[in-house]
Amino acid sequence: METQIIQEVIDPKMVVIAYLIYLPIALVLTYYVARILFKNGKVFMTDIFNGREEIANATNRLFEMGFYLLNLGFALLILKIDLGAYDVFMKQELIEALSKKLGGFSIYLGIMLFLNLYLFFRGKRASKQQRIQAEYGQANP
Amino acid sequence: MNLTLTTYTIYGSITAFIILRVGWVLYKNGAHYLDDLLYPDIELSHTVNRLLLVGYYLVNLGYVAGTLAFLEKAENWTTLIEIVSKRTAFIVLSLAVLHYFNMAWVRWIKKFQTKNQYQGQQPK
Repeated sequence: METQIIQEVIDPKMVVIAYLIYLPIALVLTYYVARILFKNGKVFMTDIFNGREEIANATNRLFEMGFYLLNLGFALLILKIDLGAYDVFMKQELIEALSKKLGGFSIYLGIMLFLNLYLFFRGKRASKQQRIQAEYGQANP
Repeated sequence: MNLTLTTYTIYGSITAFIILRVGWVLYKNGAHYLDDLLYPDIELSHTVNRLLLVGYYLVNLGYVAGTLAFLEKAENWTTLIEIVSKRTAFIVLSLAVLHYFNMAWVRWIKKFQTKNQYQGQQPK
């Protein structure tokens, strides 16, 4: 009969382990996404700023900084695992909680990636329109 | 060293590192923007940039130092990580919001400036 008793265990060590797994993965994921996005963002920026290399690079770096700040902040904000919802917190719950957190964070990162891409494309379109307008204006004074 | 002291050390070093690093990157890259805004007066732009950097450091490091004493007390490593991450998230997110507002602001001024220049030239 004793094996039937459900142990109500919340192991604090498990929570720390969960945090120690979550943090590096979230940080590396953010770093990787930001690097990929802004390595390719340089092309857009050079186009938007008409080949003015200095300000294009500066803008790219500033956007990268903003991306890092926003996403690392969000990653840290959602770190806390609410132990009130668990009667037992062992290996299985650890993996489940991690999957929820990391899955949610990945989806959030994906949305942010596409948002940034949208901004790039919008900037590109606006600069192209300006250029066309300038040429048109010069042709017909 | 007890847990509270550990919290202070970890929190202080992480936030100080982030603030110093971000400030430096913004200082370096924002210089081009300021040069662009205050175009003929490069000297003034450098001065303004340096003053902005010092102001930024004072406000943010001052905020961190001032709120250090109001951190919740950690009972074990779990709560320590939670507390540090929550406070760091708050600082980093407010930095992000400020940063995005600043970029929008600079862009808005630039737009306003070019519009003014354009309108100034129109009557001739």
